[in-house]
Amino acid sequence: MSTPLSLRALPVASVLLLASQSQAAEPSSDDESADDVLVVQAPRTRSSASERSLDAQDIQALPARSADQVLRAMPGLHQSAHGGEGKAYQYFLRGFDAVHGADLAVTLEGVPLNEPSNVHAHGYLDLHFLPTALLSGVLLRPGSYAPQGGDFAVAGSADFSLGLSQPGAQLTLGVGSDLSGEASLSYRPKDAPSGSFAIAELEGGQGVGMSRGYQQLRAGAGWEGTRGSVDHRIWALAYHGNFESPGVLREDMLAADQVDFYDAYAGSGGGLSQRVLAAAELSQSHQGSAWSLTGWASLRRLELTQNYTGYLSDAENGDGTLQAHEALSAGLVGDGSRTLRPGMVLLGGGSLRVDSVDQSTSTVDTGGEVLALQQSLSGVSAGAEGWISLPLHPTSWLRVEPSLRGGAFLVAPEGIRAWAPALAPRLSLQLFEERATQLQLAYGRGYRSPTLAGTTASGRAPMATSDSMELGLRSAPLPWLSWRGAGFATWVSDEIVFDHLEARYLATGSTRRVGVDAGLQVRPIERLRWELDGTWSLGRYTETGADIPYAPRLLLSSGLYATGLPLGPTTLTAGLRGWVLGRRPLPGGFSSHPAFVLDLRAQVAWKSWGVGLSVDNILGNQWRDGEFVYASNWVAGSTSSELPARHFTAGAPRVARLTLTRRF
Amino acid sequence: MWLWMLACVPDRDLLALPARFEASPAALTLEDGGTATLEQATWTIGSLRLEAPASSTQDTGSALLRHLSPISVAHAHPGHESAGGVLGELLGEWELDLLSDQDLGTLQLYEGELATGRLELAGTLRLQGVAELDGALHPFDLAVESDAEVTGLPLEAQVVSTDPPSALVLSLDPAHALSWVDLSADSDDDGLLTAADDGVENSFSFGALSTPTYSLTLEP
Repeated sequence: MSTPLSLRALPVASVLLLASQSQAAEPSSDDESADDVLVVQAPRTRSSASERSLDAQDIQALPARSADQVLRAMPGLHQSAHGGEGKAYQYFLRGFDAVHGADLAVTLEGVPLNEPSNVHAHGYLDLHFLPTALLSGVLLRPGSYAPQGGDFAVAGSADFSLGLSQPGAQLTLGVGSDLSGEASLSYRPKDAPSGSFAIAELEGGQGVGMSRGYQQLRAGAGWEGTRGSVDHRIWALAYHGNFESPGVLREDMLAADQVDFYDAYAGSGGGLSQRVLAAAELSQSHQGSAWSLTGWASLRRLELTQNYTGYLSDAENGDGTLQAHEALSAGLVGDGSRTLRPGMVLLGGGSLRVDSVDQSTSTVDTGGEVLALQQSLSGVSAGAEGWISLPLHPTSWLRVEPSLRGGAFLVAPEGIRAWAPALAPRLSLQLFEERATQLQLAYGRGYRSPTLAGTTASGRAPMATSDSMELGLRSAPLPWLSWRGAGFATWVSDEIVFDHLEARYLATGSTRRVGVDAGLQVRPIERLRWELDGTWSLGRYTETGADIPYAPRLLLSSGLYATGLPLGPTTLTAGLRGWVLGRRPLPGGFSSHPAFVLDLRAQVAWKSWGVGLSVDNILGNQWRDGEFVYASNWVAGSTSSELPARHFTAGAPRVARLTLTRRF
Repeated sequence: MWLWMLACVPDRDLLALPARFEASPAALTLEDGGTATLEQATWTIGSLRLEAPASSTQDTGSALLRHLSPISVAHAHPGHESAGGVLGELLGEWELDLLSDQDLGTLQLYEGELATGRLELAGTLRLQGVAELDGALHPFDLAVESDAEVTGLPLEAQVVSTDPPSALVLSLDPAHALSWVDLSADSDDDGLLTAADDGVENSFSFGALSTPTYSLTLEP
């Protein structure tokens, strides 16, 4: 049955174990069977003190317009959207520049969503295909401490649960001040579990400023049922998106009034993104053991046109490039648990995946016409991973969970075949888990698989690995008050950055990151909570002491959230969230501007009707979501300057959107 | 407040400095002991760039691999590109009379440590005059045309915005440019040493493109 949190993210036996030991299962609000209630509602074990989970209502209250933006709830995560409404976000987490997902593993019901060897960036993480209405939960894990975190879980990982919360049919229509519109139609049979659904979404708009238009079409269907003691589930999602990309602007041209803040240069780019993802899952929970197995397949097409340097290299045609990527992927993922003896459960899991990739990069002029093929690459990559974990309770106040994860990766670009192994020990110690205040120590090694383009002719396939530690406290001293705090450190033996335009890995030396993370949650009344989160991290190259560029040092956020709060005859689901981004170190000793942004999302439900209002950037601040320092030239035919110049991607402008929902 | 303090990161200011060419002396003392008097000296130069020391770039490993990469051009992309080694730049093209001071415009210069300069040549360097060697007069009219780039011009300095330099001065040492030329080797005996005489073009080019021929100075 669908649960607020994926059983895969939370091994069933682990939950059963906890339930049997703590007897702390909360009462169920659902009418599911007694066995399932025990599985679903038991307290969840955490691999670290910073782990966080959100249910469907939490997600609906977030000022998040896409699944990507839901990840902002992860402590210490910042996103940059430098590619418009359709390109993957760039992620920064706890001192990592995770690029487009290279160090952040995201799964959907356990199915991996990162794209190995994507032409634009290894681990490319584009969640635009995922309707937010289908997000029934998410587990957010900074660090690489949980044994479930596999390939790309270097800085952190997240697992989304899929399901439609509202039974019945629902039609939503909306308009936005950015000349956008949206329509959504969803259906879940009234007596069916949340995994049985059908949904279609269409949205598009012109955007504020230049070159920000987009169109997106999403569709999905799922079925969930039980035969005998085995749960069955199948689902499929399809997505088509076109988008323009405003790219970057030069600060000196903005200062000279040569461009406006939301302008774009000619030929700034855009893209086409298509994806079909389907999965079938079998699972069973019976007499102290549980297992699940999911087979999945994906078809992917991505085209990105971009020009970040203008006419720096080609004074006549410009430096535009078109990256094209097609991939056919398939895999298996499963996990299981078995009770060895009362109080001792063995957990394990594994995955297999194969990706067949065909990609190219061409030069294009400012009109998008292809000029010449720069490079092309075809190949196959494959990965097999497994993990095992044995949570132990040597005393009543101590929980020890040693884990071991391993994998082997094959990368086979044209005429080359290379293997790369990975072995990742992990350990979690939790003290006083029955008490209001808990202490948790976690260690974990994360890894990132090699990529096709990064494989050398001699068959060397570089892996990236990291070692992370976290010492944290969580406390709920009062029913309405909880807080957490943690210190963390990460060492990366050789920071490897993939430069997709050189189509190879660039080793930049060893790095270290240290930081602290803290959060406070106050719930003055039921269904209303106020949160304050802060993360400070310092990342430096070990040898030179130079800052790791782009990653934020300070990230503060605060939000007031209502999750189904009764207001007379209506209920309110809303979130008002503000966040502060401190200055970020940029390459060459430069630093970025700080930013403060306030976002709102509110939905009022009355009987079968609902009205929603979302406002991005309420204050209308002209904030810079990405800042970069490099040479560029935006005047065709002119002498190119080699002097590094500041560039920025404009942050989300103030946009209000109004929706009307009717449930049938 | 302490969080803000912890979050502070250094930044670099961009300075604007006047740049000028400092006239070369007309009377030269040659390295072989002779003297020369310049009657006409002209030079066409292009853009000048000032660079940080290689060791201070923050991604030396990256730079090395880029150098070794068979794909030599990398376009900058947000999140993937470093700032590069150029900290100062004077864009343009000038026809200089080497015997006169000349303003070159405004140099854009970031704070930081400087090590070298890089100068584009955009035309002809011409030195015309008379050399006196062992009491004999040897007229010369030498010209070399080049669009090469003279790299590694020494300029070790630490530029800070709180105590910025007042100007950048570029100068040329004609005596050094002539130091590889045998000014008495008028092989065609036409009474004037030119680049057409045997070996003169090569030796003059060598001197004209030699790094010590040029000097860069940041005036306090």
